[in-house]
Amino acid sequence: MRELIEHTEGINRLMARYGVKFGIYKGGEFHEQLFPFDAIPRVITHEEFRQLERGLIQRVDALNLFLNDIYGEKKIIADGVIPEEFVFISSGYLPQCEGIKPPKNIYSHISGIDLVLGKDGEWYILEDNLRIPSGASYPMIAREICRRVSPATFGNNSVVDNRQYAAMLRETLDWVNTGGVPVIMTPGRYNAAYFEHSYLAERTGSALASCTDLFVEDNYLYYKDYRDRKQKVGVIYRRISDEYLDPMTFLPESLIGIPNLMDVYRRGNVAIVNAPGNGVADDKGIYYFVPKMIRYYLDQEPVLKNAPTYLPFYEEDKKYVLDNLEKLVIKDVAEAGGYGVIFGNELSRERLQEMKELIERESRRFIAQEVIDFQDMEVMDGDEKVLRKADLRAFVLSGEKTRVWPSGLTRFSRNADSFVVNSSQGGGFKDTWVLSQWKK
Amino acid sequence: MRKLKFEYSMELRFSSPVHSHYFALRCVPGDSLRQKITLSRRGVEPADYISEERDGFGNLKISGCCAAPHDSFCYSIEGTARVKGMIVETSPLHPMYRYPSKYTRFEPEVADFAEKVQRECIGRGAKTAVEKAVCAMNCLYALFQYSPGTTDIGTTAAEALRNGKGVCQDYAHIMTAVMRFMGIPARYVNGLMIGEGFTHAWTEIYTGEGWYGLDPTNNLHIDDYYIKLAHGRDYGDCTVDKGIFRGNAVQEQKIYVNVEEINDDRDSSVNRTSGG
Repeated sequence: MRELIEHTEGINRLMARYGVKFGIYKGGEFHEQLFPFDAIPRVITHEEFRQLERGLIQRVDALNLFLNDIYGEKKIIADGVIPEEFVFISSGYLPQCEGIKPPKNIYSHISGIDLVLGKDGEWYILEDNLRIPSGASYPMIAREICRRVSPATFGNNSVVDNRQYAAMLRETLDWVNTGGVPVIMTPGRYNAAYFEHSYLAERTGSALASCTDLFVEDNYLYYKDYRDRKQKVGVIYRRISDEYLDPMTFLPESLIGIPNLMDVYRRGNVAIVNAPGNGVADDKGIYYFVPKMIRYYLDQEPVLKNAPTYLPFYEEDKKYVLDNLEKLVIKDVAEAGGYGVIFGNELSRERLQEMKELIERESRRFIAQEVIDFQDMEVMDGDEKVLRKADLRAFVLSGEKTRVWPSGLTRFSRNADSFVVNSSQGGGFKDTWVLSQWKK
Repeated sequence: MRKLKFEYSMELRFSSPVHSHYFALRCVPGDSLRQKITLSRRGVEPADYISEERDGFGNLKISGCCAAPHDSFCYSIEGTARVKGMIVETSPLHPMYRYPSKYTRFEPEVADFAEKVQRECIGRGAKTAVEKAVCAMNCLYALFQYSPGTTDIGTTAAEALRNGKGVCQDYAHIMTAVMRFMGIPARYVNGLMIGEGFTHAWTEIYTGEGWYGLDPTNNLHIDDYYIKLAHGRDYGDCTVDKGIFRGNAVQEQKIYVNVEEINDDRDSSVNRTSGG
């Protein structure tokens, strides 16, 4: 491991050469920045991973059943488990998807579930990302480089190989393929995750396409390759968001979508990965209800805990939130990517009062959570070890079976006092090691 | 029950040829408890292919594409409709019609207008959903002025209220927004009306058993002189024609709508009105 740390600079240099970058918009301008890698891995034991795996599979299975239900019979609402306003006011709910049965009934093929490890040794779910979770490529490529730079590290530690992500992804795509080539659709090179799109396309043997390479004809989707040959597409792993996907169905001003794609999809002639409309299930307001979903659909107790969450929508919760605002985290359900997250203890008295009035007025718009005291992780700052907050994005793939990738993206905050670890807010990442049950 | 003959056509002319032209049309009336449709003609020109399906709201939708360069695009439908007037179309309620949407957000203007309507309802002793809706329609008709060209297709209910005038789309959005604000589910409807030269828009409210239509632009109940094309949460969900094409051209649109009554006994037309 020491050898690995000594090579940190070299690893980062290699990653820069590979183009491992993250794009961000600041002041209306696009900047590409490197995503700094820290060589000290997060280590998860075999037993701990088994437990995580059980909890994550259970959670994603329940979320997929929820999506089938919401765009179909809506039994969970009729049975009073979730108040209907949380579903139908959510900007992620798309009525245009009503009545559509996605191939093999899978909505969330690739789920990115964010967790933190509390000081009490318990894992807590922070949020579910069921739309287009990004980040798997970073630990993939980091592991590859680390193995090359320091083979001994992996000779001495029994780390489960994580380089099969591409194969798992390809199997997930093949399982729902309706008969045609697989395509990864990117909005283009000015997207935050463009590096990942091209990397995954290469690794899964999918065509990397933008909207100008894809078109609908007679209820099928086609890809025009570099020789201008047209090929039928059976599965499209799209890395553009729902509202830009089809200008004839969603935002008419979208220039990066595929006109009439939704007709092809409605007829079952192509699989869209992940399915449009998933935003209703990873809404911050719906998060509160996921443990209830697990009990409702699977008749099981949730293996993994949610962070203690309050919905000001309920009078009792509202009272608690207003009385304890200074120690809670407030999240605006409409915002994503670490934006719209407010820490009560950082607010001035006036702002605290304003926030209380806002919650009183728009109680559906916010959720409040207890600040989880999560374990710090060691990060190298020059030659010095420092402590930073870190989370884990686990990748769960749903195909013939639901599987958890034995790795994940560990992100840490840039500053010592920051709890926000989202990559669009700066910070870096670590490899995540899952240890094998066979000790070396 | 009345028998209506309808004709609806739209023609787009481009100043220079366009290509890769995709379209989605909701211009074909569907069958329901209120109306039975017999189509005699349905044409879309030019089109490489045409496909027909129901959208997420239950509307008939025609979609297709014309890839090659072309300088005009038109569609036309013709047929007859047997229509019943002023009935409740029984159907289960989809909850989405209870909540605000893009064009019908609950902004202060909507809340203020709803307050006015509530007062009027109390004054008149309006109790049922239909009575309250009629009350709202009367208030809106008295308050809002019909004035083409003062709003556009992107105007929301609140903006239209602030503007004080607008067209049928604005009337229908305000009516839909205020009904939902008052706790009565409502949806936006596109359709054809006798005596209209263009397509028309109105609102349906949910009575508890089914949908009932009101036309706030004309302060009328939806009777057997109206043919429905499509519905949704608001205009954005059921736009009659959507198109996207490549090319640098100015487009000119012509719409022709003609709905007339057929008298079966004498097999001749009465109450003839023409649009244009």
